[in-house]
Amino acid sequence: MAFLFKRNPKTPPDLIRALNEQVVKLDQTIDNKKYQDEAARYLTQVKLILHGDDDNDPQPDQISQLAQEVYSSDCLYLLIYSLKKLDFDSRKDVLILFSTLLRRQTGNKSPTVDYLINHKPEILIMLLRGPENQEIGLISGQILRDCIKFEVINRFILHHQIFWNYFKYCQISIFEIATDAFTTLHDLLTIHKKLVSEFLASNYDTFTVQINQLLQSKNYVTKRQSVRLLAELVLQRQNQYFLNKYFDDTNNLKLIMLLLSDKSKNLQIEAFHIFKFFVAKPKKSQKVLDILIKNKENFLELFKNFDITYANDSNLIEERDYILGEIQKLPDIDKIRAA
Amino acid sequence: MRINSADELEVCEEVGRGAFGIVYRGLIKSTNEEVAIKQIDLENEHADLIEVNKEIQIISECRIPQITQFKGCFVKQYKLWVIMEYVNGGSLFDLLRPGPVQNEFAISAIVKEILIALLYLHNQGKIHRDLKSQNILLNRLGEVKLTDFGVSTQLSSNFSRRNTTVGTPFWMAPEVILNNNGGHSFKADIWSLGCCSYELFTGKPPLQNAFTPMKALRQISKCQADQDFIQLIGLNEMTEISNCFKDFLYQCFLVDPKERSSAMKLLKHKFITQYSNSKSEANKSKELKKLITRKQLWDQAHHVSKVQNFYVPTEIKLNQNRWSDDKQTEPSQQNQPKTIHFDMSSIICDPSVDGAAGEAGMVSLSAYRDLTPPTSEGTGNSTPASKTTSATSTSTPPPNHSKEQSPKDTPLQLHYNSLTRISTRQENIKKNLQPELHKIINKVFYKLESKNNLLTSQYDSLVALNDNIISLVSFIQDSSATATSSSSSPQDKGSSPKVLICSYLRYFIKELMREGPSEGRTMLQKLIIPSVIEAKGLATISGRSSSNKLSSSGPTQFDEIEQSLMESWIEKMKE
Repeated sequence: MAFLFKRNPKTPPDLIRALNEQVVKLDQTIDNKKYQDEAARYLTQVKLILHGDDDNDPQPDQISQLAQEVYSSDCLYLLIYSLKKLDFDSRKDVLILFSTLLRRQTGNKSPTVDYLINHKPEILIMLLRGPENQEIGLISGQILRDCIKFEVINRFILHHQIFWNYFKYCQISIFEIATDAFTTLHDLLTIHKKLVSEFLASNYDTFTVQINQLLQSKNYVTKRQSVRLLAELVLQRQNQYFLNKYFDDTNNLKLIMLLLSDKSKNLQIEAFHIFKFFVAKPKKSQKVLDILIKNKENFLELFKNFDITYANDSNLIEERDYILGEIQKLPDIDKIRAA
Repeated sequence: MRINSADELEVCEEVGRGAFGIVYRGLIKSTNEEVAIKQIDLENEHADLIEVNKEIQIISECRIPQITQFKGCFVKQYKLWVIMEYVNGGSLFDLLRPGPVQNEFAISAIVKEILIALLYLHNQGKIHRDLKSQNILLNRLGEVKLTDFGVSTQLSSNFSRRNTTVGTPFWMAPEVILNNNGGHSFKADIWSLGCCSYELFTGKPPLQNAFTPMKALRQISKCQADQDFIQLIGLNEMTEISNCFKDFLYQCFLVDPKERSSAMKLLKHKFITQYSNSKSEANKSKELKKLITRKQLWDQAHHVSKVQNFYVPTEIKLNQNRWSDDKQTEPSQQNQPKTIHFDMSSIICDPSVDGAAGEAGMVSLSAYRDLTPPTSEGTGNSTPASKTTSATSTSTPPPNHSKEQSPKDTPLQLHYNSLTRISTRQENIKKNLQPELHKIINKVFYKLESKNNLLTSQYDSLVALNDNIISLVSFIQDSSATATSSSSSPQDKGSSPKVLICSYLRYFIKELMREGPSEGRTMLQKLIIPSVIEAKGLATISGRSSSNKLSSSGPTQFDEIEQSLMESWIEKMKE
């Protein structure tokens, strides 16, 4: 290995200690080019221990020594805290270190997950705030999504107030930061289904207000991503409680109808995937039923010209025909008035 | 500096076209810096938001001179604008058009830069996955830049693999095609790099001269031992190549990805290091600039005023698009959905849901009002959109071809005109004819190419066709003077020399105009002859319009038929 050069730390723990030393200095000075370069060099060596290279395979005992020192010296905390001050390419090495450690298991436990939850949850909070900083938003997002794969971390985040910031983060004006934040939001709400179903049940009101705001964004991408996320959520049977409430709410129906009449064909189709449940729901609330009846003619008109042929999706066509049939079965408004 | 809105930019000419977007050259207003603007239509069925996000994530994380720099992106209505560094020297594909490079020093210089880019990517767990000559650009300073990360991927660890088959046939590694060994890793890029190096030296990627893309795939996937591929491409038999370069290629073409060298290792290969002293470094950019100059001279000699097509989408993607594309593009454009006005008067915002919801209700109402006018706008838009579909769709050369022959500069008419002025000195005629024909062909070629995404094979066929046309400007003995149509120039009848290509075209047109004995003939007439001439010509010759007959068959059936007809026609012309 490359530890033969002078000034280079001899053992993995030495290497981590040397790295920490440089990272701490980064924080204290303004002109930190020198420390950046040193830190970058050590991070490259860390990567070599973790992944090996053409001639060397990674050694489990070295990795284990390295990991021990990382936990005991709070190396991850220091790195994330100074992430912004590290060199652009070094930040990606931090991502590699972080996610390799996350995947590492002893027995059937992940020591890194344990460390993050029980010792330094501050690290997760700093990562969650990533989108607030353009420089490190994407890296934080990637590390965070690796963390979310573990249910305990996902649970920790959903129960933290900062989670709700993500509805704001995904409307940030910098496109890639916003979409990255949305990807994180999406993962938080779709990976661990049981956890999410509990969460949605106990936070129905706040969640609906937030997602409905995204549905009305002026930004086409935000709109499309959020309607797709919503469609994904209502498709989950575990989310039963949430669904019952959602499809009885006329305000939700209104927003979906607005999307159905959008100029964008994609938005129309995505909206249809939610709208169909309003119509297909066996016990509709009276208010929802009223609106459906009142707009019967409009719906018939809309679905007559609803162009889904290009989607090449036979399911979609079947569903459209089914919904069309259901709407036709609704009573005519004139007859109701007459009666 | 980061670009965050369209206001900061001035959009100039189109420089390329992909499956889901158009690339323009642009200028940053404040600095006058040139940029490439890729506009991705997110409403397009092929523009997968997740894929697009992934590409942006990858390019925004690359900061190295050997990779085109990301300068920002933003959403404008239904389009995503991605701003990239503009590379003004063209792609290696363009630069190879005048012929192979053969100068190993220049090849080594280019390959080294690509290796640096690959090392950078691979170190971060990124795979390019579509390395080919079209995606390697040169600027006028002689710098090499890797571009188009449309199908690239980020691995979550060095040990993970990807199982998707992407890439372009001639440059694809066996394990990518076979999807074996648990998917492919970084090493797939190294194989492709080998193909690019080979392409630089010979002018064509391996196997392109011998096989169609799909057959090439099969051939590559059959390679099991290292020598199989080497033999297939005849590397051992190549004589003008140095041993050092040969060995470099062997390293790239090792069938087992585990055995194949990494970018790091190849950078230390003698083929790269032997030129890496300070003196050669200085000569490098000079050598590479020479390639650009060579291309410019060649363009001038061949009257090609083509813009650089530096964004070439993955061929497989194009094919997939074409397969799924059929018939649907036009109807969907025409049936612009009507705006429906829902009656929402009965919906009252639930006051208990708190202020934010109330506010949201207001916003949505104004949005609703905004929706009312666009109906007319929508239909207005649809007309130009449907007009351009023929240009956007990937391969429909014939309609454009016929459009190109507008009455003003119909090549045929020009031939007739020049023919009437025939002098007795044949060489003089040739001198006059050839450049004129050249001009016409170049114009046709340029139009055809700029309006259509031509496949490599189509492109090559067209080039061959052009060459054939030019070489057919030769004279023939007229065996039966009376056979010529009286429509040309009666006074010259029998005495004037015949130019082979002109006679060919005349007979072709005459035969074509003849009353269609079959459905196919009528279709051909409709496809080839410009509408103006057709109206006149067909009326006089056949006395009835063929359009009635044709209207029964839908326009969508045409595309497939006309394509195959065009191909067989080109084949015939080549014979």
